[in-house]
Amino acid sequence: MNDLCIRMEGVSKRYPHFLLDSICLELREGEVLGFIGANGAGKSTTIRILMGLVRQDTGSVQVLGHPMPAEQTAAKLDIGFVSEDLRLYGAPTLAWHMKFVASMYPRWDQAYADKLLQRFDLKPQQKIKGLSHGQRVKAALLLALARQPRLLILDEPTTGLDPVARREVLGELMSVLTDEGRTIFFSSHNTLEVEQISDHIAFIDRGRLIAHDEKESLLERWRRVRLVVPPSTALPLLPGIVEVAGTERLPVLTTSQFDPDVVSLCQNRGVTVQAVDSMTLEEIFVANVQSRRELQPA
Amino acid sequence: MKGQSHDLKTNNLTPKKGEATVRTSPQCPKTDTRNHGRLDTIDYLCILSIFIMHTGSSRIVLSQTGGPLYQQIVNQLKAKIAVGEWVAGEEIPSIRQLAADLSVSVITVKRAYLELEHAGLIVTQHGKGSFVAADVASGPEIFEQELVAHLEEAARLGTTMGMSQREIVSRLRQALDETLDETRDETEGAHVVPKSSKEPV
Repeated sequence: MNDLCIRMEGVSKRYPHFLLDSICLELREGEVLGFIGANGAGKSTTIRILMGLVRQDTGSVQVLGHPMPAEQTAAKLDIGFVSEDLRLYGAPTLAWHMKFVASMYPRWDQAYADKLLQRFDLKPQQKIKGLSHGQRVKAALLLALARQPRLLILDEPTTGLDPVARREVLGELMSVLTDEGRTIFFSSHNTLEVEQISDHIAFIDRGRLIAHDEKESLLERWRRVRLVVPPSTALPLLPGIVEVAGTERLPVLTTSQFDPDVVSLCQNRGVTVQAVDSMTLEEIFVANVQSRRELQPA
Repeated sequence: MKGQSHDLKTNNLTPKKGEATVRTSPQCPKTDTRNHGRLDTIDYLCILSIFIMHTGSSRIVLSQTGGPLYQQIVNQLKAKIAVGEWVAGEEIPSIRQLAADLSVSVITVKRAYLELEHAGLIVTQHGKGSFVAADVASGPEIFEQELVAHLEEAARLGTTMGMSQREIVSRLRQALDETLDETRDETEGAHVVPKSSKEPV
């Protein structure tokens, strides 16, 4: 356990209108990393580089111990990849796809595949072109999961799924993790589900990694502090302030480095702490992105 | 195939020993007319998905609006021990198993278990699993401990905010009044509902 499953070091890739800028990212075996970013932030580029589909300009990428893209064939034996725009053949049936994938991957587990068919409510004799978007996503996930890959790389696996299907998919992903040797890297802009199932969280914005931390400590460090400041009293300098909102007398501070001592620190300056609110992952993400964008306008 | 999946769901919905009964309309599986078929399936899936949350070894129900997930797990496990659903020395689900059952991250469950360990309610032995502590206190004592912790926290916060002792005591009384009001509102509310439902629609 705790072997590195993914290791990206100083990975950059330049496109005419986009720069993926020195990404450093690590993911240990048995963990779930939720990768969050706005549209066009660089999520899919990062994932394509991880999969060896795009060659980075600089920096090194190791996936399951294989340098990428050089050893992508060997690495892919153990990676299950599902992306939103993944195409299956339209005319053949799901059963045909299952046979096809099983013929290439020796660890294909037919009993597990049958179980997934029932759980995902899919019919093997149905042609792919007759499936709804949600059914296609579930079919692609089934094909990836039944191979029992050590690493699952999922590019927005739940986008476009209805709430019931989303719960089925998340439940199935988490049951994979009862096996400690298996790891999940997934991107999403549904922060609620990332908050639910991830151990680690990475934020990407405008091609840069702006946060990469354990989920619990990230949620623990970010707070909104509501203060009451008496007239002609200066706002105390608190650590890690990323945003000051509200009014002069009733400011609301957002901090990325909250410490319970803040309360007594304010008190000593004659400032009353009205409330300390915890923040959802979505609020943290938005506050983080906005404060960085203000510092570095595009 | 259709019939098969129906059977599967029906089986799942049959309450097993000790499980809460899920109320379903007895006609539900039979209505299979084209027009209503789709709605039934959705109803079914909803019931099924709620049911899934109750299954698994822990039977913990998490709520999206119920505050931090680890805290919800701590509270519910504490309650299980307090009411004697889980007894001293009993083995409880492993961190990974509970994470999979609840579809939450391993790190969240780990944090909840650590907190329960610090409170002396459970012990985790490496390679063996987690157990309810052998010397775990009885239910009233667990709540007593929690009450003491909350009161101490309230006293500490009040003091750091510069309140006098009198102020703190009066705030506590205020909180007590508010809680009583809430319970009163709820009971009154309960009386209103049947009354209005008798009125012709």
